[in-house]
Amino acid sequence: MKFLIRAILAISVRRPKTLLALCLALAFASLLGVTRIGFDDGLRSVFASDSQVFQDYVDNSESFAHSETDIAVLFTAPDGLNGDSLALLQDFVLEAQFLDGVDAVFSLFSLQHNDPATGNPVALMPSDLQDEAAVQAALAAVNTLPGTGSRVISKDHAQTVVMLSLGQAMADMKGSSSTLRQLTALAGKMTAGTDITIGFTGLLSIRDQIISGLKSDQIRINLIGALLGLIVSFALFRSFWVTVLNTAIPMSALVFCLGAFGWMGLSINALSNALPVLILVLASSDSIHMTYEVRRLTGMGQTVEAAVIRSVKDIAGPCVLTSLTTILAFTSLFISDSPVVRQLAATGAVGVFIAMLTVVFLHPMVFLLAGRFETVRRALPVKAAVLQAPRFGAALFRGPVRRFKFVSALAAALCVVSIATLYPIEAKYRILENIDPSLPVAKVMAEVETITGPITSIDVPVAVAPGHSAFDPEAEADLRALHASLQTVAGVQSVISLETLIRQLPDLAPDAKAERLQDILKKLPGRFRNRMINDNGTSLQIMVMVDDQGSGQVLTAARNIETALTSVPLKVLKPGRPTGFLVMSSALANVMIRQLTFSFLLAALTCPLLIGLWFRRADFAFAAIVPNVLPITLVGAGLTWGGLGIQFNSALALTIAFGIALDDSIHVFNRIALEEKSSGRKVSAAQIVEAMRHIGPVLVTTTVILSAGLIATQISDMPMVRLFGLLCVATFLLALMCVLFVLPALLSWFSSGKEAPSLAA
Amino acid sequence: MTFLRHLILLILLTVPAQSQAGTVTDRFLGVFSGDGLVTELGQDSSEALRCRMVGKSVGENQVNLTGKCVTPRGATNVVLMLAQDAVGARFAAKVVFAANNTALELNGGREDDTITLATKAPIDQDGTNITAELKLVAAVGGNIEMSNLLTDTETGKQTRAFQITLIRKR
Repeated sequence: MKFLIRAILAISVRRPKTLLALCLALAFASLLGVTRIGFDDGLRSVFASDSQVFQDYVDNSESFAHSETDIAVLFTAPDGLNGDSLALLQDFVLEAQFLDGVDAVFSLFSLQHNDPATGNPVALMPSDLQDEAAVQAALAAVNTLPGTGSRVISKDHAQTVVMLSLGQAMADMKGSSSTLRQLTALAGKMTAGTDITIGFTGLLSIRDQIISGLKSDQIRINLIGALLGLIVSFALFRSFWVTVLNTAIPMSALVFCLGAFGWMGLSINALSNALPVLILVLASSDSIHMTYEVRRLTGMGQTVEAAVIRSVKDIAGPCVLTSLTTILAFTSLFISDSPVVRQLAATGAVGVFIAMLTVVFLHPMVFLLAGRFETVRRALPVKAAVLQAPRFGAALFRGPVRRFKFVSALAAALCVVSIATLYPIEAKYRILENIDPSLPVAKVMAEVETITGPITSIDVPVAVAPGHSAFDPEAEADLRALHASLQTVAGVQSVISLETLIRQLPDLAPDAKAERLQDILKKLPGRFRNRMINDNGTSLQIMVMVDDQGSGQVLTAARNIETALTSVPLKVLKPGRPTGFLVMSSALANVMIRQLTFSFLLAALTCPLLIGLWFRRADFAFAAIVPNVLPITLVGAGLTWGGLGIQFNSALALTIAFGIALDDSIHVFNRIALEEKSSGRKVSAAQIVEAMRHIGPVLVTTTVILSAGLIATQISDMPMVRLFGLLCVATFLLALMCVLFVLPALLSWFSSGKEAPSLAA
Repeated sequence: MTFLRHLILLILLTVPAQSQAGTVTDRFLGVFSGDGLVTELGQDSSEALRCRMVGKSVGENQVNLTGKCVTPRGATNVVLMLAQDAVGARFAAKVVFAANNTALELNGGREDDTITLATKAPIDQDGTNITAELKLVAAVGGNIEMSNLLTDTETGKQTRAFQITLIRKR
């Protein structure tokens, strides 16, 4: 630390102009780096791991096509479907297939029924769409077709669903986003001047929505966060120049961080979306601590240079330590199996480190250079009495110090109760939790599922025994039994497999039936055929359609499905473990949320240890635990009690907020260490109260600015980002309360003499 | 300079003369799109068909029309390879449908703007022996009309598999 302070003094204080030139060059390079930042929804990659569940999903994806690359199109004709609206729909279906990436289509026009005369399958919809009577007769028959697996038109015949399947390669979002843009443009062009609407949804649409939300969030959240921070800073400092100087430093930190992310090839995803604003407010917090000290010292009559040097010596150390605890909190996320969480750990740690260096080196330089101007020099000094507002009188802290045993016991009891409420941790994950229910993509999804039933499935791979064919009568009998068994499982809405097609065939001899089935499969688009059978016919897939009601219920359904599968006596088919995106994401989300909880525990243990080692004080290490763990467990207990459970972003928010909440404690410890250093003896209860009066206003200021910055997340389109911001703010406010009232009580256990009772006298 | 002027004059006179004469396959060069109808073998009802094709020369007397054809139920990439003899009297064609990986080979002749091609021998399509006839009507610089007639060799039943008018876009 001494080396760092010497370096700051040597570079920032002695060569401020050289540092300014270097910073300008770095800012230019950073701005170039910002343009290189990529955006990824992270919805798929968040789960990539070596786990068996993920491997099952990958293996199954190689053999079978999945609904995750489907775009569900909702076609609404308010006056009801008729020949004219269906002609428009047909035109849309034809044109959509010319777009890059659209591999297959399923619509009303794909439906077939058996010709009563020949017994052969023929198209249900008439070729002449102007024959209104024939059109209406066909529409009336649509939902009565046996075994289609799902319905395609609404009960009032005003809406119909078209499924467009994109090639697997299009699952990379660059191509899919372009296809979605073209589809939206096509729909707009075709429905112009009509009352018909065409909406799009599905996993690809959701992912596209998340990416566009991430991009717009980056600009809006950072801008509003910075603006709120600026307003709050101005209200607290009551000086234009001090506000401008103080804000310039965190803004520079943000630019340097984003530039570094860009040059390092890091991308912003749903988990790391709030990271830039977090870095902004963290840098603001450190900057405020240093600014307060410069103003206090100049107010006491010191020159700007002397005040800057003193602030570096007294405050830069704790600012570095606060950053180290936050870096430690981020680093604890490295134990996650998820590459996206690990990337967040790296991005967060690198970002906080860059922000720390920016603040400790730039703050002295900015104030020294600006202090050369008379206007700024006059704006700087503030009397210590003004900094310590009257509401932070000694009486406020005397209570907790005088009743330190009661306050400590109460805090410990609250900690135990909140941990008991939180345990066992109820992990919750749902794909749709990533988007706002008011967005069109979510609304269309709800309407589509009203018509078709759930479009999410649990997939069961079924191997055909060697030496047998999937079209053998034994295989058909096995599949029929499996299909029937799965239909009875609780929560299952429908089942789609080869049996779905078999049920539509007329009574035929086994050979003729197998031949007809193969003929139908051959005519199906590859991506639809591969949902039921793999390319070489050695394996079948059963898609069990279930609602995505959250990871807990999905995993229960998967277990029930597995039980149902084992209860069926089979001859030639061998079902595998249930898999698919829904099962994989639900299972791994639970594992990862638990890993994040472990990360928090790791941070909760190591951060106080680091504080103890930094100050070489065991009492500080012990005192740091309860006031900082309590806000987290209280917020976690609140989430569990409110039925929200612990979601991905809430687990992340709590771990990161813990690292930041520690900052307040560190500044209290630093003030007490400085008091002890000046008095030359162990701190007394009276000195604890004095130290709290001194540091309290700064802690309130930094908490208000941190909270104001993170409140900006509330304008995000993504509920998870909003929840992240809200939980951070709640944690910061609770942490402030704990540091102001619980920490002095805990420190009193280690204070010198029996001075606590004397406070009452 | 006089020699050069004569050479340029010779080129200017020769090129248009060749273009005007052209080959029949040249009529298939360009960008085309159009609507039509398609009927499955053995069925009476038809469904909408839309194709977008690009014709490119691949030799002196050969053109490839490649593109995509879609129906409300699915799509396929299509390649029509058309070659003519030196005098433009005899033609050979190969049509490849990527969706079901099938190919038809046909031969025939021309009368005015109409090229009529037929399969040499019956072919097996989904267990039915059929013969196919492909008729292409292409005027100079104009649209292309294509139709395909399938005949069940056992029952003699004929099916108009598809007919489409491709309108020249470029």
